[in-house]
Amino acid sequence: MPISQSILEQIEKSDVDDNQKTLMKVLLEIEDSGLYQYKSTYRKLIKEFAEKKETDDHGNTD
Amino acid sequence: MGIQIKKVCFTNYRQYGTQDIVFEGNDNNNLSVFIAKNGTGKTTMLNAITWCLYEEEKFIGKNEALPLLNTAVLEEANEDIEYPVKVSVQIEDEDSYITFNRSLRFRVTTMSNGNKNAISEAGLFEVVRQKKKGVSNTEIINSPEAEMIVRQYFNPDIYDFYFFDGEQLKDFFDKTKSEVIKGSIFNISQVTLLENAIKHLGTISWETKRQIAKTNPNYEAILNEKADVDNKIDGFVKAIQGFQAENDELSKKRGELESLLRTVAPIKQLQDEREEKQQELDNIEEEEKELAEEKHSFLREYMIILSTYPSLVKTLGMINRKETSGELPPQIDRELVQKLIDHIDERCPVCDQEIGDSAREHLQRLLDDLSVSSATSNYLKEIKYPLEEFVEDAKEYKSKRTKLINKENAIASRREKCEKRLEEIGKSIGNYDIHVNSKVNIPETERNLQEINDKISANVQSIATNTAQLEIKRRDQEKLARDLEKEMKKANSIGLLIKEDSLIDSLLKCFHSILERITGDMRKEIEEITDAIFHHMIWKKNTFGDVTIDDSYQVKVFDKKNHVMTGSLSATEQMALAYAFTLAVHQASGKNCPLVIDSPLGRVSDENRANMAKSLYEVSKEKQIIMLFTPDEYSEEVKRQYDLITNPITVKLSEDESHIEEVF
Repeated sequence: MPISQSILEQIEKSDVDDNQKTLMKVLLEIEDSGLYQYKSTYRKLIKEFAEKKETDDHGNTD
Repeated sequence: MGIQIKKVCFTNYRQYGTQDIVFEGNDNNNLSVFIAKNGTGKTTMLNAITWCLYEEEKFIGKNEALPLLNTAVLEEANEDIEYPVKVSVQIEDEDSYITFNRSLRFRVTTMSNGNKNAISEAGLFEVVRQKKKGVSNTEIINSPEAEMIVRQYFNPDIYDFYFFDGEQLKDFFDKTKSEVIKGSIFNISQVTLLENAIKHLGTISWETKRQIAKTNPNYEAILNEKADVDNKIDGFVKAIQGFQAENDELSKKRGELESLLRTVAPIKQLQDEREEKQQELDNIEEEEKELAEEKHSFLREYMIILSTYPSLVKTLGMINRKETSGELPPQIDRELVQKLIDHIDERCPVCDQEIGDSAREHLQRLLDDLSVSSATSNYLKEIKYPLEEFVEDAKEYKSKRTKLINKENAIASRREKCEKRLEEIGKSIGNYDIHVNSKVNIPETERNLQEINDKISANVQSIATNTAQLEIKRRDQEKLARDLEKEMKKANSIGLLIKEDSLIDSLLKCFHSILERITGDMRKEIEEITDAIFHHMIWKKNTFGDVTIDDSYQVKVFDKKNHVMTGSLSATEQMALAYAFTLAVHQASGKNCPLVIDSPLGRVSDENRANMAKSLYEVSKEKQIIMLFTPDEYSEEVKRQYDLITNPITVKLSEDESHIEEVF
């Protein structure tokens, strides 16, 4: 089932950058699919996001 | 018009045998009336629909033993043949026709006593969806996706909000049910997704923090301390919720006991007076709180004024003395004289004459005589007025204090009178002669009422104590979170892990905040709609105040004086409240689903039937309503309204009661 409009609206209103908003939607879709092994999926996504952010931050500084 | 049930088709199903029942609306409304005598298939219609959708006959009696297979078919059955029992429910929404098909095959055996027995074999559930537009527009969906389609249209968790038994209202607002309602509403609004994401992120957050802690002993110590505080906070929150839940329950019981006492004519007046006094006492408590605030402000203000009062008076006296002696304001500008002395070689800026030695000596004397500079003089003039105000205020201290004390005494005296009268009423009711009215044991009811009141007061006290401790722990929690952040910054060596932790914290914060807003908005929306529909349905316009729904989805109705009166509602009013709440849940779920009601007016008193029938007709202009009546319930006053707008479907059972013989 698609994530409800009211939740999507609230995510859009959150005071975080677009990448984090996307990550939030992905996490909710994972929950909706009823994933059993959530830990490894969550960890992988969070690690990827943190690494990407670090690269982006360095890129901006350079 | 939203989702509509168009047709229910039966094959060998109970007394319906093999039939199609079609529900037709018209341009103005979508109201269907179905009339059947008790035992001829009224509730079976409801059971057939729930069996088709949920594989369960939700409204079946506990002692039901007849098989699903129609008894006439069973009696004539051949053991070599399989007999299908099938129910199809056809619905229509904006863009599709959907048919839910459930079937179960039966094999028949003959028992030693000669009776035939139907044994169920394999079953099938499928959904046929036909899009209104498009070329390849029909699809057949099997389990488990088929069950998902059911969930989308008729969520099984709240089935009785679509298929409603008017006779079973007693438990409609039961506490345990409100938890189910809350859970289902959270499900509908996908709040459970947010809750699960928060739970999972919480676990990962804890593990990440542990990993960081291994590299920093300070961090670990603070983390442990914070975990301890978090647990204590959880404990306080749960304790507060527990006391509040208990008080909700006690208030409900109190309402019931009060209603009971009101039924005894000789003490009705006393009971009414007691409720008035109780309300007065509540108002007095509010006034006491306001007075306490006023006293605090007064003390804060006067603590400063009184502690500086001697200095204020001294300074003001000095300014007044200088004014009297002419030193204030000074007639000579000290700065100008000093400038003349400093630039003695220049000409006087006032008279343009040269300044000689004698003039210089004169100027020096003037300067020596001046004790107040212009700047100081201006400053003293500036502060004089506020000082006077402070001193004046200080003089009013006693009168203001007396006024506050008098107010406090007046409130205390009113409280004393009120409490005394309440005690007298309690004694009068408690000592009421039990033999005068045998139906209600008044002294015992009174004792129970007193015990409930004492328990409620004790719970209120416990809530206050726990809330105070919770506040302290929340402050500790905030401090520890800040300390953790500081320690985290020190541990730069594990940069990526810290970034992950910070991201998890940010995600958690966002999800918590969304969860809070969504649940709050949802509850508020249901509350507002319930209130509006209830007031629209109810014809006693001057009795009822607000309808509220608390965080645990308990529905309460207040009277105009703000007394809870949920427990005192008549059966008709309970029904109106149940309809209002049901329709609010429908609306909040975002799907305009049909409402099938068994005995829609069954508990409505005769004089209110026409009104309730009219209210339901109004609802049918916006959504489909199918009503299952007995002929008695479909009384003249209802018939007069509904026969004009709909063609009632009446079913007639065969003489041997094995099947429905006629549908007209």
